[in-house]
Amino acid sequence: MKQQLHKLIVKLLRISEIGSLSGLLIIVLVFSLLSEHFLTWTNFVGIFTMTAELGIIAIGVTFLMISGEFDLSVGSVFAVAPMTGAILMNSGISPFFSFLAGLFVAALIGGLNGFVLIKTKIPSFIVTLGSMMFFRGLLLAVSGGFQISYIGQNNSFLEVLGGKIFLGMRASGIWFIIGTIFFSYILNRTKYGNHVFAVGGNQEAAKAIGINVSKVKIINFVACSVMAGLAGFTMFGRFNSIDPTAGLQLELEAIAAAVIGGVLLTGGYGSIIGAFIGAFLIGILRSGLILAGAPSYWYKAFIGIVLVVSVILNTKIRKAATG
Amino acid sequence: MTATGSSVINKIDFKQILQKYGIVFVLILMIVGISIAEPAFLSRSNIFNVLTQSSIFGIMALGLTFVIISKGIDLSVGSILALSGVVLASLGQAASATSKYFPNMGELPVFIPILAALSIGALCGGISGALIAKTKIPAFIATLGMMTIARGMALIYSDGRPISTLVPSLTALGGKIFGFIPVPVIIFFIAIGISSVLLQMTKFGKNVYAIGGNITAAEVSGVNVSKNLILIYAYSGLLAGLAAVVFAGRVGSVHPGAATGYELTAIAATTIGGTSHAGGIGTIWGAFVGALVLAVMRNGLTLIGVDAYWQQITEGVIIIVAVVIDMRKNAKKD
Amino acid sequence: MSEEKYILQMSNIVKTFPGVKALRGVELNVKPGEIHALMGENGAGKSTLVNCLAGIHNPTSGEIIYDGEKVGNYNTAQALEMGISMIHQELSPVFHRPIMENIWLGREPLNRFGFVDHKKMYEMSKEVLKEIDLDEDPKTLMVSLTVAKMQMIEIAKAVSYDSKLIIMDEPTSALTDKEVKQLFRIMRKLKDQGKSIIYISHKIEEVYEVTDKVTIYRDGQFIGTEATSNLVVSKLINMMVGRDVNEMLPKVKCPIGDIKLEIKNLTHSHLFKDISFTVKRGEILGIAGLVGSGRTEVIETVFGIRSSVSGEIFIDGKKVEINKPRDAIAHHMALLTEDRRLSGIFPMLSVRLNMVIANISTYLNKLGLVKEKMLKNECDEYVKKIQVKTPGLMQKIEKLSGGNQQKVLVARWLMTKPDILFLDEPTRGIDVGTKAEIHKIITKLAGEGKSIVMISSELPEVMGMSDRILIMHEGRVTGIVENTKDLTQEDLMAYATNTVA
Repeated sequence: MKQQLHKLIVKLLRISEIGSLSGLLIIVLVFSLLSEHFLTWTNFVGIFTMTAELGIIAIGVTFLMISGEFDLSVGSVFAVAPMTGAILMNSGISPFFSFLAGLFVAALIGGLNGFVLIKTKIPSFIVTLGSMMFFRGLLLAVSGGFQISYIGQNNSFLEVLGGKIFLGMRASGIWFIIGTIFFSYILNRTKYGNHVFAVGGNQEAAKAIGINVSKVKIINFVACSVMAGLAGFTMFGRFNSIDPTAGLQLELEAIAAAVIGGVLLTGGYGSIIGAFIGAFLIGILRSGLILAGAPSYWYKAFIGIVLVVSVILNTKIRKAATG
Repeated sequence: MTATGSSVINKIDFKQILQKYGIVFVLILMIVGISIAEPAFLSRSNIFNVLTQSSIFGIMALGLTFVIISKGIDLSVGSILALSGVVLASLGQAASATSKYFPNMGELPVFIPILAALSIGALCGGISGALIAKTKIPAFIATLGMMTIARGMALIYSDGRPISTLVPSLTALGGKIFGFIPVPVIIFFIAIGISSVLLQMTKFGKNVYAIGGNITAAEVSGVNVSKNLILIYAYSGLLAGLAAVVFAGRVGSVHPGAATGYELTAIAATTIGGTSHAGGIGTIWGAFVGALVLAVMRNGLTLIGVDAYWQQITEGVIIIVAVVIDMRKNAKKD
Repeated sequence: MSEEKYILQMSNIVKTFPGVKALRGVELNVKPGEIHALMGENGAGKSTLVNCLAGIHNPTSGEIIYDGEKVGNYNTAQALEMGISMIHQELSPVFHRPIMENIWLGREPLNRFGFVDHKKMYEMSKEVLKEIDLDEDPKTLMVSLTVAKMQMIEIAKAVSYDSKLIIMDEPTSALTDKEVKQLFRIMRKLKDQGKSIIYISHKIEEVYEVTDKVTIYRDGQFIGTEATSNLVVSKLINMMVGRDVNEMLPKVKCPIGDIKLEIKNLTHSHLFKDISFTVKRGEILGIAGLVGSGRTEVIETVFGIRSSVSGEIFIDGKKVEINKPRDAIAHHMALLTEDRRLSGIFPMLSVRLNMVIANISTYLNKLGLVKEKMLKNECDEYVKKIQVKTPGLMQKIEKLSGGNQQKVLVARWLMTKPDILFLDEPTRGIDVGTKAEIHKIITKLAGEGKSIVMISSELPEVMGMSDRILIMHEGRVTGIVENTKDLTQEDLMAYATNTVA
């Protein structure tokens, strides 16, 4: 009996999202006690919308981090992609093609990051720091620092990206859920997903059985970038305009979400569901603190604490589960 | 490898000089280029201007040099500047200030706010260091956490508002002495001197290199790794506090959102100066040159009349190119 | 036809690395359904040879005929395709993933929609695991397995590739007796299925227990292949060692003083138990034993790198507490570690910093600044004293040869003015000339009255240098003997394999 219980506990601990999930539950519990408005549908919808944009980026970042690299340029891509789209749309090109073009630019940036990384063997921190500055600068130069609004009449496409759909829920929430399911599926159900884990977990072992490590990394950089671009488009859909400074420092928040969700900085471990929970946790913290009457700044300080504590806990849990 | 003649030795020396001072040549080329396009660049006032501009992120880059040589990273220095800065400003407001943070407090001697800023910086850094040393979480995470915590504390402390109207003795720190030498530059140079001595001439400095070079071997050789890690991050935080003093002096007020993203500029300066993220390699001199490269570029492009945004673009490219050159040089040696 | 009879024929294999000729034209012939041992001292070339076979390296020249066909250069993935699997000594699985994904990595079974068929993968894994009698849930994460189990999974992987030739590089070095028995059972089962196994081991008793043939190498050369059952132990050892020891290293007797260091009942949670020994002033205590016998671990524990569960350490009769390397250094101990790259040198730092790192405190002035001039002079002195060949003190240590790197490390520890020196494989991977110089330094130190504990896998070295020899086997001391004229390598081997009559 005792042994069975122990086995059950170990089994529970092995779920890579267990840390973030319990953290989420505790935080939800605390805030529902602190504020009666917390556990309401409107609040939930509000949180979910706020979470979605960060969450969509966090999915891509997680996917990339599992393969052992990371990307600081997602905040810039978050603005570059919809900016490209907005400029094209305003010049009369159909919103759908503008959207695709925006995502294509995002993919190019991701590919460039991956290519430079593979060719020069510079750490991803430096490569993507460089491209983050480069593309943010390009963005500001092209836009002249002013925000660009969509001037056309064809709003339906923007609605699909980030408009309200039902019960106050926004489309971005749907994209968030679709992204989570899609990338979870890739990671857990496809051959490619296995290779992503192998490349991040043990690059040499992956090479030894003939996996093309460079290819996997470049593909993941592209995927990460495209998700950041998609997230940017949902924000464009929400405001009908895009600011060249949008997404500043979002890269760090996305990495925080991924890490709170259990991803290892060294790669080879983590889950998309974890990133989902991590992003959600950040969103809840933000709105919960406001509802609980704390000045909005408290949220910043809390995020840092949650991040550090969660990494320490995740490490301990992983050790306990694996002996 | 055996040297067969003096010509071989000369060749090696030449190569070493090129490797060691490659980025200096880049800097000189930039200066020459900009001066041709805009002779005003080389005026005395503009040179001091460039140095002043480089001083704030330059001071941070000095601390990051220690951190990066030890194979770590510190993302929190920008936020620490803001936190140290708002506390400094609150303690250093002039009696004439319209909205006083401590309404009933008179003007304090100037060393109190300065000391407060330095101690808060060192404390924040020390906490990051202790987290890294004791819990073994990656430096990236610990300092990312400290980055948001310190920023949050700065916002909470100041209630999101800038704190302004500082006593003249503080704003003097942003001014000039003898009518032409900017005080920030003097502070920057003193910080460079102290950091150089610490890194090159003390046991602490040697330990920093050893920890970054091979942490296991350092432990076996009797280096107190955890103590040194705490000191490294505390020093980085201390310099962020010092940068806050300069910042407050120059701007005359401190906003809790100040210095957002400065950590990346400082990391860029350190990296451009040849400090390797693989650990064990780097110099204070390099950080200074790296900071100058960025400052010269910003100033020069502005003088020539290039859009401010293009500066960021160039910065991004320079970082990558500098690191590529650096990696080449290390790879060639194998 | 003889070609029909072999699954593998390697002949005239030469492999050179920059500056080293690791294989000088060796051969290896393996028949189907045969367990074939490769034996030889460290540096004999066994590992290089199997690395060539597994596609990790390509031979510089030579011929490989596998399964009746001559094969050219190939990589590890192609080797697997051909049916050659290797189980490495240092296992490196994808730790945080389940067993089944590790087995089928790169060959994941797909369903008709192109997704990974986990159910099928699970079933296939079950089958493979059953084939090697391993009762483990394929969904278990690799990281939670013992080393022995991970090894079994590697074997299961080899089976799943339908490998005809499985290379095992010292598979038993981290296993318990019981686990070794299980491994042997599986090896025999694979043999009965007609698979061939190349088995590298230092453990003589195991070689006799499980192998059919044994091929012996020495200094990158082929010495001979024999049927294991026809080969007496003494001849095997002779073929491995092959030279007369006493001529190479004439032992210089130094005056021996009182007991300096005493270890009493040192016990680790699982690596070693009840280790007791003493070292006197001016004495060289050699420690012999097979790789994995716990030699290094004992020394690392005394030096404070690992922690013990019980036991006492006395210096000059006084009990001391050592929890960190810096405690040991404070007690005037020094440790030259086994793995120079891992825990010895700071590769990209200067020779000078590498030398002084353990001893900087001695060179500080009142302000806490390093007295550079004094430090430089001292370094120069040591460079001369132990003849380090370096273009200068500011040279990066990684650019020196292995032997000179080792000399710098010796200098590092001599500068701390130690009374007790632990030397773990002080001459591993070092050319003969430098080796002799290091031996001279060690002897000289003993002459100065220092106490020296030297671990070595090379019996000639232990026997040539030591006053007394301590032999370990599986975490226990099996003997401490005086190094007299009549002591033979066979005697030591008997202690090391715990087969003393």
